[in-house]
Amino acid sequence: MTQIFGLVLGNGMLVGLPLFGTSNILRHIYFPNASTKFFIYAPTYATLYKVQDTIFSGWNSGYIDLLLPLLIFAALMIPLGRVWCAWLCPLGLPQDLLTRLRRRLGIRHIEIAPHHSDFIHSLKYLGLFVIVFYTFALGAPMFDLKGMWNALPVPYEQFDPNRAMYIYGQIAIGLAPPSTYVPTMSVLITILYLGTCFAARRFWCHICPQGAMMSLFNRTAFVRLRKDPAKCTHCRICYRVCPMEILKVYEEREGTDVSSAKCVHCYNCVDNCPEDGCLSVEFLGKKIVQSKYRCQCEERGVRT
Amino acid sequence: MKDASGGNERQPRFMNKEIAEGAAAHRDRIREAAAEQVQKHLAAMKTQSRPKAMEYFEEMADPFGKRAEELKKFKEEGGKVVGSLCYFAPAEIPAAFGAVPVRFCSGIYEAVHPANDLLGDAGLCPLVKSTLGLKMSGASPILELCDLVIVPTPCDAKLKLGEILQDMVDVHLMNMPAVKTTEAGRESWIGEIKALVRKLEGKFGQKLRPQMLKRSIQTYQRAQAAWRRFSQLRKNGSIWGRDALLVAQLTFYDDIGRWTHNVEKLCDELEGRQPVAPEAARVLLGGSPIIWPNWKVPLLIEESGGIIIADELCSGSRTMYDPVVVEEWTMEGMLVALAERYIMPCTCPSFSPNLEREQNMLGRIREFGAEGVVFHVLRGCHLNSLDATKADRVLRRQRIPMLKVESEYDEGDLEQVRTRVEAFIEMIKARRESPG
Repeated sequence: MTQIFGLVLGNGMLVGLPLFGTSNILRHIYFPNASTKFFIYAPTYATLYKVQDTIFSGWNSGYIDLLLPLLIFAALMIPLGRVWCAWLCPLGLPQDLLTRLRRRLGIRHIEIAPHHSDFIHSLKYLGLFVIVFYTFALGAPMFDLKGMWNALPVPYEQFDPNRAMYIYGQIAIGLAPPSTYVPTMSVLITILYLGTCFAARRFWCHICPQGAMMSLFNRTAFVRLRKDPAKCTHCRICYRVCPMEILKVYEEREGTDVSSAKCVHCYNCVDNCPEDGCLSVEFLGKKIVQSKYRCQCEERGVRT
Repeated sequence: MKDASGGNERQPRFMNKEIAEGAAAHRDRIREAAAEQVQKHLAAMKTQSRPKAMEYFEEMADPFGKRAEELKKFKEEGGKVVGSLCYFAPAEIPAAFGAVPVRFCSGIYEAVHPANDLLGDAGLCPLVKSTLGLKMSGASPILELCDLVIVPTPCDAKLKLGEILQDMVDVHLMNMPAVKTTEAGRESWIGEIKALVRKLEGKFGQKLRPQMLKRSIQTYQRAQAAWRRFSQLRKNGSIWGRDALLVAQLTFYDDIGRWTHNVEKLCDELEGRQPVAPEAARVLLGGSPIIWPNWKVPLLIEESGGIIIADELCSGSRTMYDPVVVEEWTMEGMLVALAERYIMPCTCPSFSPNLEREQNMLGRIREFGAEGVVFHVLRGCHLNSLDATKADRVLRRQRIPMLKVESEYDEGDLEQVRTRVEAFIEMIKARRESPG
């Protein structure tokens, strides 16, 4: 539910203009979403887009324009970490819907083994590094990449699955003219996105470069996942329900802080932990939610 | 009996005619002795303040009594009964096929004797000997109804019991990983769970559909929820531990839906009840399984001024405490959830390392406010004996007193154990005045 709210308000990709109108002030509030100037009626611009854009054009101004987006980003990330990913991200909702569809069809997700998981998770940092380095090279005179200015100006935007997914949506409901340009790469990546996220839970979150930027703050955010090891029975449920394959929550036997850079804060572990008060979410040391045993047979939606 | 590998008639390895005849001669004596043991312990458990809902559990308590009659009728009407020999065989799976799962670890003293004749090893764990003797003599009606017996192999005694039983009944062995913390160990156990499904599919000529398994898992989830509620209500000492243990014990062979209903009824009655013995020393009972009607140790503790406030026995709380949490109701998702539920949180000493046990004990001591631990070890159970040594060191560091009690399947050691338990309870009570 919050995801739909976030999708509409934060990104406005489908219904942007009719609700808000476009304002230049609003477009300077950068969210970790994926909307860019290539979207019709995008009310806000994405941090990652702005970062690429300013690195590209900032050589002469000493990258001073980077300050504002990074400050806004830090102001969001220092308290919240990757909370965005599970609750507001426009690429999160389709992943959850795909998971729901897969379960409805009775197909089991592909399990990513713990030793593969680390590798896949590290790809997002590689992606982020490539994007930053490429845009820097694009703008810095000594690399002389002027030939690429038209071919590949803002690299991530050419690949972004958002582009194809939401622009075709906008065309379908008549918001965008049918002739709107969508790069071929973006279409291909979208197909890849739909396929992988159908098979594996939240696969995109593993490799998302915007997520990589947020992950840098995740370990020190004010939102923390806590564990009372004395209450843990090591039943491994928290690991089984975790879409990001975080072993730490299950394995920790001494410490109380089980926050992880990989975590997207979906809190499936807290939700499913059968021991009262074993796992909890804290914000600045104040408990927000904690685990509580409840019979799965009493959940809504489970027919008996 | 068919050999596992092919169609040839299987030659008995352990049994022979002479032993079989000798065992059969024990049958009536075992039945009489068992009935006597059941009645004696039931009588000792009775108190004035006992909740009325306990009557149901008392009625079902005789393993040769009412439930056996019910199952006999069920079998005559074409029903299937599947036995299992350990906590580790998931009851949900046979139940999904519409079979009645029964766990038949035995606590009958008299049944040990025929097994001694066959084994030629008197040092083996009495629980396994008693179970074997029960099958050899044909004394237990429920056991005789089993179409198949599932034998997980956590310890040496059960490992061999699985082989010996093949001389008498269709056995499905499940290879237990001794190390569960590795991916390989966990995956091998999931493989065993799938093999069990295939075995039952072949046995019953019926394919297991996800819907069947889902319904079965949900039935057990409700039982687990009822047991959780019961555990919470037990915290203030509103029911004797020996009664609580009997309630847990009946999951072995009772109809699980009816059991759940009766536990809920018992909970309703316990709501807001006063402690049965406010001054009693609050004891956590741990160690080797205590199987009804082997109620020697629980009765000794509670007759000596203690109350069993919690336990960590695989025949007690552990049978229903941990819930199965299914993330995805696909076949694979359910089987993985089942497989992990039965081994991951388990504190059985057959696992190494077994950090779960000490953490579980400490957690329960804190949660239930236990003042001391009685660690029960069946003579011949080396794994629990070693865990007792470890538990003693861990608990000592936390300044929690522990008593290791070794016992056999007879009453010979009764008075000696009583003296030690009494002294231990006295010591706990004395500590209240001068802690530390």
